[in-house]
Amino acid sequence: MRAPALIVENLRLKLCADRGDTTLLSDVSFEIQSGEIFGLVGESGSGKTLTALAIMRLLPPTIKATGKVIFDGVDLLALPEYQMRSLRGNRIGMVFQEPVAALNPTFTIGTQLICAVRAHHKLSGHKARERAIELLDMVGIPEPRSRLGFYPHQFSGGMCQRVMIAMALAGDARLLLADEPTTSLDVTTQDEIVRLLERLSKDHGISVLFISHDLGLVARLCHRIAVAYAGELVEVGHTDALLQTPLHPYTRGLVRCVPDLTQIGVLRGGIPGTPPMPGHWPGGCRFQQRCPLAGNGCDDAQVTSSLADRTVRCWKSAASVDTASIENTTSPTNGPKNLARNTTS
Amino acid sequence: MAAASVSSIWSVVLHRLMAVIPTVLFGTILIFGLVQIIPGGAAEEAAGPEASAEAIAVLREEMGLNRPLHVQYLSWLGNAIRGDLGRSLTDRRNIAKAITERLPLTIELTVIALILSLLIGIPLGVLSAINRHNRIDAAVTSVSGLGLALPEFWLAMLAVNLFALKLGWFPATGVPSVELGWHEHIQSLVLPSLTLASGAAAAITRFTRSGMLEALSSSYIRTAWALGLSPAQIFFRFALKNALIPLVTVIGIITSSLFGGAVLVESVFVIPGLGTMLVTAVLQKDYPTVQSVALVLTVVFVMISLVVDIGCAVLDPRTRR
Repeated sequence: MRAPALIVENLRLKLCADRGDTTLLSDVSFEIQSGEIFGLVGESGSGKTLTALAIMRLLPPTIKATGKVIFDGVDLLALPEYQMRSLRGNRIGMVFQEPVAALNPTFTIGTQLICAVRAHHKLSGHKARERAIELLDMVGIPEPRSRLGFYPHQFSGGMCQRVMIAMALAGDARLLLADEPTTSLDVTTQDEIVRLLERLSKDHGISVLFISHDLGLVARLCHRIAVAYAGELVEVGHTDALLQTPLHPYTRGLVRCVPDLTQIGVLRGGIPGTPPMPGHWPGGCRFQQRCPLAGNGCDDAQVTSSLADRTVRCWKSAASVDTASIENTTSPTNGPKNLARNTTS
Repeated sequence: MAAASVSSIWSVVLHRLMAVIPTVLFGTILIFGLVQIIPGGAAEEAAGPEASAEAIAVLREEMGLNRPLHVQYLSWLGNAIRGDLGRSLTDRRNIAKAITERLPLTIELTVIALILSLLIGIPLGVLSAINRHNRIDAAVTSVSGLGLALPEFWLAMLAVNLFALKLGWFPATGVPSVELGWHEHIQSLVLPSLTLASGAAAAITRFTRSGMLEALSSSYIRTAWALGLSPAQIFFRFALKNALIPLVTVIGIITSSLFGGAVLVESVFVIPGLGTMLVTAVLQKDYPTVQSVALVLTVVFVMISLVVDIGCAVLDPRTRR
């Protein structure tokens, strides 16, 4: 079996303020195999971006991280800053949402790209320039040589995102953290960027953490998926298994929300309510206020149960994992029908 | 592409140059109009307090003050364009010549003060932003607050008292010309330019700090950290350039106000610059001189904003057309 490229173990984030600490992320654990594209989905505020920034150690100093982030056999959270800096943009690249804003408006993309190249490779100006052209070519920018003199505002969002990806891969990237890289792009461009990431991962054996709120997009791209809810991972599993038989009620709700183009005009059921904000999480299961299956036992601390590459944080679903009677519990019987009525009214 | 961005900078220069002409013209109308509104006539002042009504009338005719206003304006403007600003009412001196003698000293004082305030303000502002919310930031913020609050004329008097009269490090008044020695010349400008620079340095510190903080919190600086660039490169190259864009506009305004401040500082230090010339002319109701100095200052201000616009175009590629 391939060795994991990244192991995140019990990652916890706390916002330390004068008024007291607020937990932002609790006990997030997952592994990304080398060469794997791993999806992280969830609503806004579920802690997806925080997870990526914690791996990169780019969180503001007011947020304290505990747990372990193991990359290349070392715990990133324990590394001194200067060693972390030699990994950032070198072994670990990161791509952000809003690509136009993520590029410096006052420098040409050539200057920015050459800077990224020279941050980790001792190259002469000329060689770095050639490497920058090579990178632009790699991410599919036509006429890369002449594009070096362009400013970010002269590019479209999709082109800027390609440049961002080229910059993130300017070192010797083994892991790419892609934080909603397609959110601000139109659907066609979205598809191009997704295909580009897929190709780069395959050609260069790069592992990718793909963060998105778009389950359909993640399903198309990723080998495995983790579902985040209110600062926790509620379910982790292989894409096919997770989509066909979602175990956690929240995952089930998400899967039901994905539009089905074969049934145009049919409104999909949503999940009623909004996720609780950090600091307002209920004890026990954090989804219980919105869960159609909530009942006795949901107030207790939820343990994750794992079986056959599947992790789920729900005692009811956990029981179903154990009895392997997955089909029965996942068919929408009593709860989800009420749910559909709630959202369409 | 490089050639294209250079040519687009020149097109910005050309456009702004075209805009300079109407601005200066409007300025001349204002200056001419304002001087007409001031009570008391030029002829009365020129003739002196004991002059008879007939003498004044003759003088009015001689000075062309009986002509319609627009004719007077156009002839004044025409002469000014040719470099003839008329003669002073008080000592009959050629005003254009007096200005060319005095303007360099004022420009020298202002430019030295500007350079000093940039050399003090930008590093302090960057230092303050990098050390946000710690003791260094607090210290810089309170010192710059003091610099903004203290009036220049008061600082000037304090400086003369302490450094010139008590310690004797610098001369208290006057500026010997360069021919008498560079050393003495520069030494005599230290106190005036430092006092003049105090407020400007404080303002530049504040604006640099806020510009840097805005840049440092931006998405593209997060990208720079994520690329593993060194802090020095991130602060002084990628953040500073963005912080300088709003600062260039501020520097333009500050330079204009330095010219204004020079009037006060020149008076305290008795420096024969444009400021003292203007103050004397106003006190003696020497209208042609007031008009001429105001005109020169207008042209100077317009030129400063021209430089600012070009500076913005150089720094910020988005403002180029």
